[in-house]
Amino acid sequence: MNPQPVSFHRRISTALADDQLRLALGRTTERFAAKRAAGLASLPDVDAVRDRARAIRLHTLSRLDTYLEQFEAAVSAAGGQVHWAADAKEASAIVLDLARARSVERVVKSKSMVSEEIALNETLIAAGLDVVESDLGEYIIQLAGETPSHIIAPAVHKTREQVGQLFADKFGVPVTDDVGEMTATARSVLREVFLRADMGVSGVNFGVAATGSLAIVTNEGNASLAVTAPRIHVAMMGIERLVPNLDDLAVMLQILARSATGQKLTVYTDLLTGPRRGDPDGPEELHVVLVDNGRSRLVGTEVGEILACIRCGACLNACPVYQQIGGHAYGSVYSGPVGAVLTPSLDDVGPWNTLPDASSLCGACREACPVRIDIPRMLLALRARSVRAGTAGRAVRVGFRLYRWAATRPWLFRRAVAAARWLTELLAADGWVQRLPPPLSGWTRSRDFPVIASRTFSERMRDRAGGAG
Amino acid sequence: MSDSREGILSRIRSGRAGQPESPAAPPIAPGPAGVPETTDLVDRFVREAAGVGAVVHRATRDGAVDLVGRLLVDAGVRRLVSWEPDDLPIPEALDAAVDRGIQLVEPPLPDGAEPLDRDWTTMAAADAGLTGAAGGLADTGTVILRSGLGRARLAWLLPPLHLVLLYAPFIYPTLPAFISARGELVGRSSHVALVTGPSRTADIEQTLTTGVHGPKVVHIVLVERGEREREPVVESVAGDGVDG
Repeated sequence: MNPQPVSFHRRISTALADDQLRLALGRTTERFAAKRAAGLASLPDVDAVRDRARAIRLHTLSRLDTYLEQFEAAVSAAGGQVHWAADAKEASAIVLDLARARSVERVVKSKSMVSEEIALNETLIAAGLDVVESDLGEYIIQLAGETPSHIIAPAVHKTREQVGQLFADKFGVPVTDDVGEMTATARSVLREVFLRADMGVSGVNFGVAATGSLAIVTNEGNASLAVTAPRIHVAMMGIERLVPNLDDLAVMLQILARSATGQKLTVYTDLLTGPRRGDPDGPEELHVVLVDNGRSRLVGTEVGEILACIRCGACLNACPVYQQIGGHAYGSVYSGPVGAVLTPSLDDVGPWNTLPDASSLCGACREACPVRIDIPRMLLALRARSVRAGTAGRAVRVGFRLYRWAATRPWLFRRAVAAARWLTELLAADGWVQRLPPPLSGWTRSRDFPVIASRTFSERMRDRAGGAG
Repeated sequence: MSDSREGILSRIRSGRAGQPESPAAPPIAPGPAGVPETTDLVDRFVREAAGVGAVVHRATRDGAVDLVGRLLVDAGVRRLVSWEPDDLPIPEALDAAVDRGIQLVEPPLPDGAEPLDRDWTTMAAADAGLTGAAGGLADTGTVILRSGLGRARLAWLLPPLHLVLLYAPFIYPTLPAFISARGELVGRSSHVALVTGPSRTADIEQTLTTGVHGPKVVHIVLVERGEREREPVVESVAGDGVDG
C-alpha cells in the first residue's frame, strides 16, 4: 500500500474544494445512514444480535490459528485447495501462477477489498491477462481509470452525469443521465465478459471453518455469475474473515446487509462449498487464497480488535470527516474510520501517521459499527505510537514537549496562561479570536479560538480552598 | 508456500500467547429472533418478498401447474432453461410449459467428473429460468436454491426472468432457523444461494435499478398444501416496487 506522493492535508484541501465530489458524497452518505438505521430497526432484539455478532468475531480471532487449520482441512475435504500468502506480492503471484498453469486468458472479477489491497489487477494486467471488474461501481471506476472511494459503493464520488458521459465515451452510446439506461448498457457489455472468462476472482465475506464454505454477497449477482460460468474460481480472503460454523454465519449475515445498505439480506447470498460435483455448471476448480499481509502481526496487540471488522462501511457513512472529504483523500484502499486504523496498522504507521488524526474522536463510528469495534480507542493508540516512533509532525512533537515543560512548572504555567489571556484579548473581537499568528494560524483558518477565561479553573479552585479554610 | 503457512500460524500463536481466549458466543435459540411462531409465516413471506420486488403468486398444487404455463406465456417466454422435473416441487409444471409450445434449452450435460465444454451460448439465449426452492425465509422474503445434478445455477442467474416454485411448508421464520433445521444442505451442494428479490444495483448515486446482471423479474409461485379440498386458487401479490 504505497501512500500517494501528496500529503494527506493537501488531498483534504483538494477534496474540500471539489464541489462535484461533495454533492455526490452528500447525496449518498446521508441516504446510507438513514437506511442503515431502518434496516437495524427491522431486526427484533437488535442489540442482542449485535452483541452475539461481536462475541463471534472476538472468539474467532482469539483462536484464529485453530480455525484457520480447521477451515483449510474442510476446504480440502470439499475438493477445494487453500493457498497461504504472507504478503501482497505472494498473494498476487499465487493467482498469476494459477492462471498461467491453466492457460487462463480472461479473468472476470467481483468486487473484493483484499484484491484492491494487494493490487491484484495490476499484477494480472501487467502479465498480459484481460481483467474486467463486474460490480457496476467497480466497472465504472475501472473504465475511468480510478480507484474505489467507498467499501461498498466504490463509485460514490461520481455523479450520474459523469457516468453517463463516461459510457458515451467508452461505448459510443448516446449521453444519458438515465441510470436505468446506463445499467442496461453495463448488463449487455458485462454479460459477454462473464460467459467467456476462464477464471472468476472473488472476495469472501465470511469463510466457515467447520464446513469450508465461503459466503459471498452481492446485490447485482455479479459474484454469483463470476463463480459459476468460468472453469476456475479463485477466492481472495483475508485470514481474519472466518466464523466457526454455519449458525454463526447466519448471525453475521443478519447484520451485514442491514449495516451496509439497510437491506434485511443482500439479494444474492452465495454459500459455496467446493467446486461443482456433477452439476451442469459451476467451476471445475476452487482455490482459496488466504492473505495475511500484516494481519497476523496485529493479533493480541492494541489494534487487534480492528480484525473483527466485517467491511460493511457503516463507519464511513457515520463519520463527519468522511462525509466531507470522501474516500480518496485518505490515499489508501481502506478509507474512513476503519481505514484510519487498518492502513497504518497493516502497513506501518510512518507513512500513514496523519490518517489517525482525521477524526474528532466523536465516537459515531463506534456507535454505527455492527460489532461495536472501539475505533476511537485505536485511533488514540496509533496517535500515541506515532509520537513514540518520532513520526508525528514537528509541530505536534515540539508543541507537546513545550507544553509538558511548562505544565510541570506551576509558576511558569500560570505566567504562560496570563500571557495567553492578554494575547487572546488583544486579538479578539466579540470574545473570539478569528486569526491567530503563525505558527497557530492553521488552526484558525476554519474555526475561531475563544478568549481565555478571565479566571482560570485553578484560580477559582484556589479561591474556594482559601475561602473554605 | 508452506513457509508462509507456518509463518502466519506462528505469528498468530505468538500474538495469542498470554491473551485470554474469548468465550464462544452462547447460541441464540433460532425461534424468537425474527418472526414469532404464532404469526402466519406464509403471510409474512409474501409481504417481505413483494417488498423486495418479487412477484408472489399463492396457489394450490393444481392451480400452480396451470399458473406456471400461463405466467411464462404471458411474459412472452419462448425459450426456457429448467431444472430436471424431479427437482421441481411440482414436476408437472415443466410439462405445462412445454405443452404451451415453450422450447427447452438444455444446460450442458454433466458428464460425471469430466470438465464441461462451457459454451453457454444456448443457455444465454433463454428468456426464463424455472427452478424449485429448498426453502423460504419469512422475515426477509428469501428463496433458497441449491445446485446439483439436474439443477443448473445459471437457471436462476442468467435469464431476465426467474420463476421459482416454493412449497409453503418449506418456509422458515429466519435464516438462523433455517440453518439450524436444514444447515446440512449447505455442505451437500457446491452452491447454495439465498435469493432475495431481483438483481439490483444502486452504484450510481444510490439510484435503485433492477436486472443489472441477474434477472430483472422474479416470480415466486408459492404452493400451499392441497390437503384441503378446494378449487385451484391463484392469488398474486406484487409490491409497489422495491422498498430499498
